[in-house]
Amino acid sequence: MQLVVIAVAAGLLVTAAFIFFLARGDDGGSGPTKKSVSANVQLTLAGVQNANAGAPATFGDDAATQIMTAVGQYVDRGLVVPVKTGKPAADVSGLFDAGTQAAIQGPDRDVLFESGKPALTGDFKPAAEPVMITALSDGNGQFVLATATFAYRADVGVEGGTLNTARTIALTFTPENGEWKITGYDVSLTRQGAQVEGSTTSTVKK
Amino acid sequence: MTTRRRTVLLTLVGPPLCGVLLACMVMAAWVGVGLPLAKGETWFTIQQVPPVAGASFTSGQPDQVQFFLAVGNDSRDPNGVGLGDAIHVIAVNPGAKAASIIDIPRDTSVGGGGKVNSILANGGLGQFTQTISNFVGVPIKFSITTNFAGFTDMVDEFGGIDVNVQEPMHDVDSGADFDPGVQKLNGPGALAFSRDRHSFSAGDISRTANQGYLIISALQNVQQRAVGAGGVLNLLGNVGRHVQMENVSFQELYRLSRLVLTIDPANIKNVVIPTGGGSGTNLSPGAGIDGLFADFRDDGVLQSH
Repeated sequence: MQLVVIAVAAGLLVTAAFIFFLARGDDGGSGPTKKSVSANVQLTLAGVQNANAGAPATFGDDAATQIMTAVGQYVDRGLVVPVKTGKPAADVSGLFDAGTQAAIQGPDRDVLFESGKPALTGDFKPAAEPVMITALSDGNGQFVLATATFAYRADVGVEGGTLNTARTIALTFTPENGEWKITGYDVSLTRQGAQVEGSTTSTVKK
Repeated sequence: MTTRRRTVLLTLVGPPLCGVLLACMVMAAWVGVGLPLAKGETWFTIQQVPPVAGASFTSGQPDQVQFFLAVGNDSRDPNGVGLGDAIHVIAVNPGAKAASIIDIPRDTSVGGGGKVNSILANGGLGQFTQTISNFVGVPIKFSITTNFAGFTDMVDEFGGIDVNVQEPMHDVDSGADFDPGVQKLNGPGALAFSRDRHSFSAGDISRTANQGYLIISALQNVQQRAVGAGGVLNLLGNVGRHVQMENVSFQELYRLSRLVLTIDPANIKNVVIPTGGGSGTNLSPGAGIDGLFADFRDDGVLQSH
């Protein structure tokens, strides 16, 4: 009888472990489809569309993960941390390729990134829609360009009420020395609410 | 091209098409008498010809004036290049957000006694581009040529192009059969529109101007469809499956596409070069051509034409 109880218990344990393993795999898994790439915002991959200039090729999970990781870093470092700290975005230049460095330090900066102003005095609720990646392969099946498109919004408690910011973001990546770097962008920013008269919309493209 | 492949292309391309590449495609509409169209795998050649303009093209959009050449050829071979029968030099000025199209009639004599169109067939795209570059006096960064099958396929896969036809076009030879007003042209329709010269008293001059007008209309169509960054990549993929590309990267085409999509069609001038008489059917460069080219050359924007 004791052996039967032990056997049943062991069986249940193995079954529970198996179910846990499956559940864990579904949540994270090897693909980038479910796991959020941001520590601050639920930021997941909606899907990948392959645009093949040659033979059919599929944008791999590794590459998609690299793109998503960069997107997560952009959101965290460029959009979330400045609001939380009240300081301008830092450590973002490494996400961009050499040709965009001047632009991101110029007038585009205020649309691409949060500045930390006005200061956060209340709640901060950032949110993002899933990211859609479109990737282009050349005639040799090598992926040479990819865009990550998503929407991001945040409600920021500031003096006088809540400031609402909404961005539609398209980041274009290209491989540079083995890493996917942002080589172009199309970002539209709308602000309304506290400390804004009416609403303002700004767009930057590169 | 197989039915399945065409279906896939249509699915991928659909509305989100890239402006400049479609414009390039349309601007390569050509003239001449056509044979029944064959569905080809390759219809497009892009070739960069030195010396290139010294423009920054390393990242983002180009920041200096870009000159490039779109030329349609009369090859019935889907993979071939024939006479350069539709010749358009395009300048894009990023700072001014403006562009200009210089249309060169196919019968123009640019020296040596022959018509310019034969240089493409005899010397290839490189020699042809160099000839046009020397003739107009601008550094052409790259050139593009297409043939019948590729043109019609691309227009069809784009879903047609809305064109405001200015005057009646009814011509058996080209197949044009359009009343004035906005018409949605499919591939064969756009081809007929580009080829018709018999409907106009000015003949080939009007036809050449219409080709430039079709380019601008195509750009307008793409802009109205609100193509985004991902849509540009979809079109590049679509084009790439049909084209031969030399010395121009997808990154460059992407950036140029994005730039062209920001230009208001109202800021694009389309001018046919002045021509005079010549031996046979040759057209000699006409009075005022030097001034036109000088106006074009300095910044790619035609201020006085």
